[in-house]
Amino acid sequence: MSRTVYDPPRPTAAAVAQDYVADDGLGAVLLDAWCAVRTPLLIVDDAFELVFANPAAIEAEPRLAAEGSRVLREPLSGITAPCGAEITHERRPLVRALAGESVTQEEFVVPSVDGTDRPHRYLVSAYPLERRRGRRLVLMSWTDVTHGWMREHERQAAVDQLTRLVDGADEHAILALDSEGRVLTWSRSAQRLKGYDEADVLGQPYAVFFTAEDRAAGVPESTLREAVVHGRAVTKGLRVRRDGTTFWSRGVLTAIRDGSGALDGFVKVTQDVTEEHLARTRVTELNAELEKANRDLARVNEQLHRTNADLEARVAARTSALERRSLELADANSELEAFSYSVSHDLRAPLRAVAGFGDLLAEDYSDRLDEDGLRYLSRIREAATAMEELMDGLLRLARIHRQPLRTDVLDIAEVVHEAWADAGADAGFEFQVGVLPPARGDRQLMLQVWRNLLSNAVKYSATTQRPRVEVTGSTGDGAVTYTVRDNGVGFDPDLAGGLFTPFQRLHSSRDFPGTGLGLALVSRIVHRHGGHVSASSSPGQGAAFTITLDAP
Amino acid sequence: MTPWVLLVEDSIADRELLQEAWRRSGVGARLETAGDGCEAYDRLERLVDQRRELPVVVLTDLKMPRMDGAELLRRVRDLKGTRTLPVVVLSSSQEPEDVHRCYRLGANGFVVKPASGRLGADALNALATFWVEVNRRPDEVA
Repeated sequence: MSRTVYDPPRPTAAAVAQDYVADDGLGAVLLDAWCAVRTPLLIVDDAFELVFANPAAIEAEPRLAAEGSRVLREPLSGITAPCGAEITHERRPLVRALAGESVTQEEFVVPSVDGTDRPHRYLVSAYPLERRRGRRLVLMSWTDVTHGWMREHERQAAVDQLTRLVDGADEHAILALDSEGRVLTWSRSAQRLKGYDEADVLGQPYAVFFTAEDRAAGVPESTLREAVVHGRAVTKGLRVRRDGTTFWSRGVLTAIRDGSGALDGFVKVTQDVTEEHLARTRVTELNAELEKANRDLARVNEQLHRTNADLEARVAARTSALERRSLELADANSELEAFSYSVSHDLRAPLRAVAGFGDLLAEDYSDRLDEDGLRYLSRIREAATAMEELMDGLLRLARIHRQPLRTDVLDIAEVVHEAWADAGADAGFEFQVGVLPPARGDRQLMLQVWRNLLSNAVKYSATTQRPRVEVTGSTGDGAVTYTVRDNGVGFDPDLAGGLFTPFQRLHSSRDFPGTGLGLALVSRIVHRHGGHVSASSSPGQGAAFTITLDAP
Repeated sequence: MTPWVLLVEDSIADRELLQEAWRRSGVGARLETAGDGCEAYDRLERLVDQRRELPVVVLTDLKMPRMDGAELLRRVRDLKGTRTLPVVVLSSSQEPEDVHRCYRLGANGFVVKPASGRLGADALNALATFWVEVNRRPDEVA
């Protein structure tokens, strides 16, 4: 490197330097060394004359080259100690060194030397040197530590912020442990959580937070080992506060290593999860209850299944019984149909023969029969006619269930009048028809009903002095009701039960001829329409038949 | 040649009663009888083969052994030469199904035989008059 000797603005200074250096060889070596170091170095005499400045000093304060000692004589402005105290003349390192004091690395703050707002910080040293030629000399050096200070300052700010964060972490205790597991730092949140003051706990093994059982089982140590081996260890379990109370904790123990990978210590973050633990315990209990309830339910279910299976078996049994019944019924029905067909075809043929030949006999041979013969023949023909009526009645009865209903809303009054025309009443009958509501029904079948009811009424009141038949109707409760009332012989109410049964007759056929099928037919037709029929009477008081049907 | 009518009836009693009623009705047509559908069909088939005079109308019972009236009806309608031959069913049956079935098979009429009494002479007279005197059936399409 070039030997940059202070090029003195004044000869005196250069002479002093030359004198100083020239004293011995060692001086020259030192001068070289001073010029080489990056630390600014000055030699100043007791008259504040600059004797020597090395290149680093000129670099740091270029004015020295131009102005030399004048720079040194400028009054200090704004320079303070780090505490902010003003630096008086007496406190100047240079002055103090001239007075014989060694000033070592004292920090001074110089406001905004580079035109920015940022103050610079310098570490300044000043050492008194040997007197030379009657002059006192001082060696001064300084280091700009602004950047380092700033770094340190920022680091400290970051640490402070971190500390605030750590202290502010209400839910978590954050602490540092040394490599042996002793507590190094203690946050306020840790204090809140564990109850120890910083003074009580610093330097203590972190095992104090564990329960006696855990300590005996070596849990604190094994946790540390786990963190060492795996980098971190999850910790959880019951922990003890200073006052002996316990809490449920969960946390992470992290091993901290320095740049070389050597274990530096641990950071432990612990959380109080007592509430969560209790909640979890409660959940576990609830779960257990739920499971038990589930098991109970399963049991009940199983019983239900058994009961169900039982029921199903019973239903199946019933169903098959019903199906049997249904089949039997179907059989019975088809037998009935076969029977009606048989009545319709086969029974009629012989009857037709009896009646037909009876007729021929009566027509062609009555002149050859005596009175008894004619009477017998007459009985034969009457019986044949009666039997035909019976068979017709039976057929109609059987057919009611087979033929489909063709329903319409019917003007019942009109049906009644048509039926009355066929009822066989003579002019002596009084016939009254009230207001009759309409009804829904199969007209043919309804006509049959009214024919039967009205001809019955006529038949059983024909012997009355002033025979009278009355039909009335009413509506209500979603139903329509019709009543046929006569003033005929009536019937014994005790016997009324069989009134609607086929072939049940309450009067002798000699008094009132008939098949015994008329009311059975009425009843069946009304039932087929979803209605019902009833009768009331007392002997000699006439009879009343009431039909009830759904309102259309 | 006097027109004639074929009566198909298995019951001897019914046959005799109908013949008697026919006789008394004074219809100017001959009544011939067959005992069942089979006999009637054979006879009709033969008449067609021999190109002889067919009856003006066939009166047939429905329920008969061997071949009933419905089957006879079906075959008559199938047989070339008798497709338009009038057939009136005389039956004891009042079952609507029977009536419908017969009309579906091509019956020209369905008359219910009353159980007692003769088939009224008037009714039979009307029947015969219509089919013998009034009705003209088309010539069989070859």
